[in-house]
Amino acid sequence: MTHALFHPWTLGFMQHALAELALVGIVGGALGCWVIFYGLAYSAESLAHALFPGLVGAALLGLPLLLGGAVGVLGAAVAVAVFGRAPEIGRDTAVAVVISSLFGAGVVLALSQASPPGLESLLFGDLLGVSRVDLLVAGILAALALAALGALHRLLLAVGFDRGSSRALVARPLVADLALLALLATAIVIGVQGLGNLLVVAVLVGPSATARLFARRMAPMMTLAAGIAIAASLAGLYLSYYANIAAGASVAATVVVAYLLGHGVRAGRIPIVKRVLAVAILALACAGSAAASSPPTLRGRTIAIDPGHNGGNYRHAAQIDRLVNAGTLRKACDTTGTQTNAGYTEAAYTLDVSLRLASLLRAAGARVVLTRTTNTGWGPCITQRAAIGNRAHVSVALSIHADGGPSSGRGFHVIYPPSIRGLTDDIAVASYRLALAVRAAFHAGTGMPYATYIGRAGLDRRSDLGGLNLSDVPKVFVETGNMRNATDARLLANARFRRREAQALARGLAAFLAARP
Amino acid sequence: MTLLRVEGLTAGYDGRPVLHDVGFVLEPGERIGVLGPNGGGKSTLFRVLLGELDPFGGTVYAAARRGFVPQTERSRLDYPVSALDVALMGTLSRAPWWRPLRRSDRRFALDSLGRVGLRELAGDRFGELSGGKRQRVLVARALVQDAPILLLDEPFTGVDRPSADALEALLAELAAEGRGVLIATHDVDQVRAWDSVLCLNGRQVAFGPPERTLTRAVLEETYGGEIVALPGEEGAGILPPHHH
Repeated sequence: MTHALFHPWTLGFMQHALAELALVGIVGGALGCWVIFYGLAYSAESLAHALFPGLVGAALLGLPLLLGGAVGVLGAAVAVAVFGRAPEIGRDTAVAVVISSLFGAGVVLALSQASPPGLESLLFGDLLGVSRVDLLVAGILAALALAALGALHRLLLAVGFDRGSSRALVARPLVADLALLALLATAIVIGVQGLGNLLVVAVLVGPSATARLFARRMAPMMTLAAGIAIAASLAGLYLSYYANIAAGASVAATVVVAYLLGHGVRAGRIPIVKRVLAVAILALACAGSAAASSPPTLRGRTIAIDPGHNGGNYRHAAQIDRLVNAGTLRKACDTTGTQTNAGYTEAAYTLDVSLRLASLLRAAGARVVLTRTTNTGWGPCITQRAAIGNRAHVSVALSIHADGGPSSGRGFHVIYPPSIRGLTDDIAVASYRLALAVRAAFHAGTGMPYATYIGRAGLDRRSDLGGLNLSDVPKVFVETGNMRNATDARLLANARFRRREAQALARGLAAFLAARP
Repeated sequence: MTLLRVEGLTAGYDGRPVLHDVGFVLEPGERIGVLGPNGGGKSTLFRVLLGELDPFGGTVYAAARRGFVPQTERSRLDYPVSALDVALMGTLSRAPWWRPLRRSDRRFALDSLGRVGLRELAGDRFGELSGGKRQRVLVARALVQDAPILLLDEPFTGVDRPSADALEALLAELAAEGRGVLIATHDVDQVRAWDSVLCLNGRQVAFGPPERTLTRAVLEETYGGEIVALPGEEGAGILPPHHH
């Protein structure tokens, strides 16, 4: 039980997601209250939409999304300021047109052939892809925003209360309005990478709307809103983790549920008994879903990760062409692997993903054995690759590859061994389960489609792979995409995407191990 | 020292004047009642005096800070603030907005609430107080502003009897302290107790001590001839049509 509750937080990417949400929750808790009382929810939504081209631009150029968001907000502000002045249009219309056009331009840009895929991650965010650097920048921005909110508190309180006489109080409504818009832009920039263009405002403002139902004064309202935001984030991340739902969407959903619950309680439509009952049912549901999957921490587990091929293989033809016993046949010790048309090699790619995956697994408490840690040597032979895992008495092994398929074919597939007497009969069932877990996690975590050119529904059974045949522990190969396909190649060459791949694979392994005490 | 001097003032909106030819003087210790129908220019005058609206012509000379008490009818009742929070907003006039509140600010605000008789309700939510009490909290806020000139926009409108009495006594006290107080009101009888009366109806109809100014002719001109005369001595029982 405790394991199930704590397990997600042993994973680095889950910690990052929670930290990001906590930042959004705290800033949003304070700022959201002002947004509500200043009637700025629509402006917030508009700002979030209008910065979209900036986000897409940053993704295109490989720049940090935070930077893109900031530039996008500035661009939108300038556009609104310029077109808002056109006397024959009218300010409202001008703003609406500018916002819609910018959002549309962003979508068109994102759908253009030259852009890296991942439109949905810009729209709905990529909570599990938040890096340490992202967090650091977001943390600094959040600290600045909170400091500014603290300094502005008295002014905002007075202007929001009574705009009409604020001038008489020497409170400057213009300062308050501009500061609030600037802070709103900052908060959106903080949250947009994690929660995306469409969800960020819901998570920024939703908890404040809930807190408003209960709090009688501004400061407690802000505290309550931040508390609700963090609680909803926790619940959302649990939901996402155990039900395998996109993190941003499940957090936005729990925020909405919190509001509806709050409204029901406040309106007295849910009497006290039912209220207690509802909370109990919710708790049970959480506990139930937690217990159902109940994965223990990865502490005490040993996992073998096998990055396919090696960067130096092509210079060691003699060594790698040597035939070895692959169990069912004799075949070459190792091969050079494929590469993208742009020259990004499978060997470099598999090592990158493997190292990312290894660090995630280690962060979760696992011991990780890698069959290679550099991309300059040759081998090891496929026999060795299996033997390394066997010798280390690992719980599970994963071999990482990318495919060189027909250029028209897309997608990933997971290869598992059939039951071969004397070779894989002891691991075939478990390996098949592993294949299912890895397929589900990879599909959900990366959005990569099932391979269109091989296997069935992202699965393929093969008896000709020495790495599988010779394994004494559950093992599969994952062919994460087709390097010869332009779309897949662009994805695999994108570092952000590789981070997500590693996170997805870590979740797949954790899910598999969770079912094996 | 004259607190406020207005000469030949013309003001309005979008180039259309709604108030012509206003000229009066507010001395320390004086209470001036501002009478006039709705739309007669009372609010416009206040906005000019507060510096929110630039006049088309004439001069406004203010020797000191102006505190303002708006109508509570217009306050937000859903706003999450206590009576003390509202009173504390007055500190914005005395210190820059970024300066954190000090203990002395709170004490001053509590004392100001005490002066309007609401010290015990300092922690109550503003929106849940009665109209009269809310009006008194807004007066406390103006006290915290610590302004020598006070402008009150119809403070007696919609106010219960005890609050009105408390307010009336407080205004006398504030004047006695040497402040100048300008009060927009509909209550002609009330104005009689004050030092001067300013009658507006798109222009300045009259200005002067109530006993000389509040004649039937002036009131008819101020309220457009639709006044109701009650039996009694000349002028004493005259009420504007929308008197509450």
